[in-house]
Amino acid sequence: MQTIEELHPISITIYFMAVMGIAMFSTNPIMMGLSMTGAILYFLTRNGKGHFKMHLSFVILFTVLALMNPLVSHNGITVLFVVNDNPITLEAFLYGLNSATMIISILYWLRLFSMIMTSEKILCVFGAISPKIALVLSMSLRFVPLFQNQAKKVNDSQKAVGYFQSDNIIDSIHQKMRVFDIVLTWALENGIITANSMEARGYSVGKRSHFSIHPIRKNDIILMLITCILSGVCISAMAWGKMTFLFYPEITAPETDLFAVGGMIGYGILVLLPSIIQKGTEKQWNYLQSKI
Amino acid sequence: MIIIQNSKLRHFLKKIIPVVGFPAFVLMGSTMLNEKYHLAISFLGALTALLLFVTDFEKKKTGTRRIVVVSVMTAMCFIGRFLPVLMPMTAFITLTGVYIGSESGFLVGALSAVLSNFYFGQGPWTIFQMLAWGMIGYIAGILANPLKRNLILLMVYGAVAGILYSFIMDIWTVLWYNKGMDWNLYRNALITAIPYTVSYAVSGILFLGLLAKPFGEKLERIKIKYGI
Repeated sequence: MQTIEELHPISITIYFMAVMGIAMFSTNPIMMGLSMTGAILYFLTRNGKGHFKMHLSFVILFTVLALMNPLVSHNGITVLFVVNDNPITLEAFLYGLNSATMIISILYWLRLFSMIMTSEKILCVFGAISPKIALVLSMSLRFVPLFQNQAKKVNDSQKAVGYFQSDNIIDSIHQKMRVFDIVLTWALENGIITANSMEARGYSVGKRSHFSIHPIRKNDIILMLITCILSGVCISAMAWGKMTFLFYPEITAPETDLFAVGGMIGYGILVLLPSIIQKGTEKQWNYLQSKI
Repeated sequence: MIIIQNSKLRHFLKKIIPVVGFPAFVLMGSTMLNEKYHLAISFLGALTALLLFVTDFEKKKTGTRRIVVVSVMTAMCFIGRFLPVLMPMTAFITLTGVYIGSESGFLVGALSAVLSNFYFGQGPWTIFQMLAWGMIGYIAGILANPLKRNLILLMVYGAVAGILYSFIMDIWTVLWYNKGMDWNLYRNALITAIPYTVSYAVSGILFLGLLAKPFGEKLERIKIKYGI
């Protein structure tokens, strides 16, 4: 059994895009709740305790976002109280709560996504779309530390020569400009040398392909199929308007029928899938270890 | 990716999609559909624009030197984003667009958004940042001749680009929060973003004023000497 993050980058990307896309375009509070529960459960099962600062900042952001809407928007018919001649309505408050849940749940999913998808995996996905773009990106990723090192070297040598005083603001701005100038010239020349060397080795002779260490296995295809089927059910329920939930002017929920419930259950399974797999693999691991 | 064999049809599509298809798509989306679809429409529109550009770039034969120079400039933008208050990215992207060409300007803008968001956090907003910065570079490339000749004009362009960038990203913030466009929320978002907008505009003027000459000379030299 493999956890989600050991699968092929493309199937991971499809999974996350489906989960976040549905959460982003839905207005139904039940869906928001499902998305939030799934994201937090997966975050906790994957990372354990800790990350206290991040959770705290998300709680603060949640409060701010939830309270922002009723202060700005005055739609809705149920007036709770009046501040400075501006009515604060129940509908606007609930709408803000709903939006805040959506945004925070997506921020959790995104945090998980960037924890799982390291830059090398993202390059693999870009390589499948456009090998040339992936090449540019991976070269830039390499250039960043290279330039930083070079800037440090240039800076040190300029100081050693005795060009600049360190206690003078104007002088230090001059120094930074000078170092930047030197590094830029060096970087462009270095780039040309890189290009020459690439050409000498036969770049641009054939069609560019991309290298990937991730094979597509059986589990990848299973995950892709599950994602497509479940999100398909959910999206079609949304497209048929079974999940539209109106806040203004009055809260009106649609009549729940089998289709809407099916979509919600589908999305529920989809968001809970990674935490279930994660727990399952942990159980399996403990079980195998206890046998030894 | 998408391959259309017939070259006449391809040229026709290349002209018709950005000039007629895209505005029609946006207008239709904003007038005919319910306002809660605005987020979906803007998202899909931005994504298609980027995909069209990428497929075009992928199919075209680009010189190796140009590719490497683009990645050098992208790395420079990435490092520049770490400066505390000021934002030299707009200036770098503008200069790339002016001196190397509009396509390279777009690429540097779009890719430095992806690259720096490895550090600052990827998200759905990456797509809008890619498009906004890419357009700054692309338009700078189109206006290359007047901008090259007149430094004041270049600085004005930098300031306007910074302000427009902030405005576009605030539209996205409102759409994300509210699904549809809400002018009240948008005004509030703009007001809370005033320090950022000012910093973008000021750094556009400052960096273009400071760097236009040395930067431009270097890019020009590389271009003439090595024939990019």
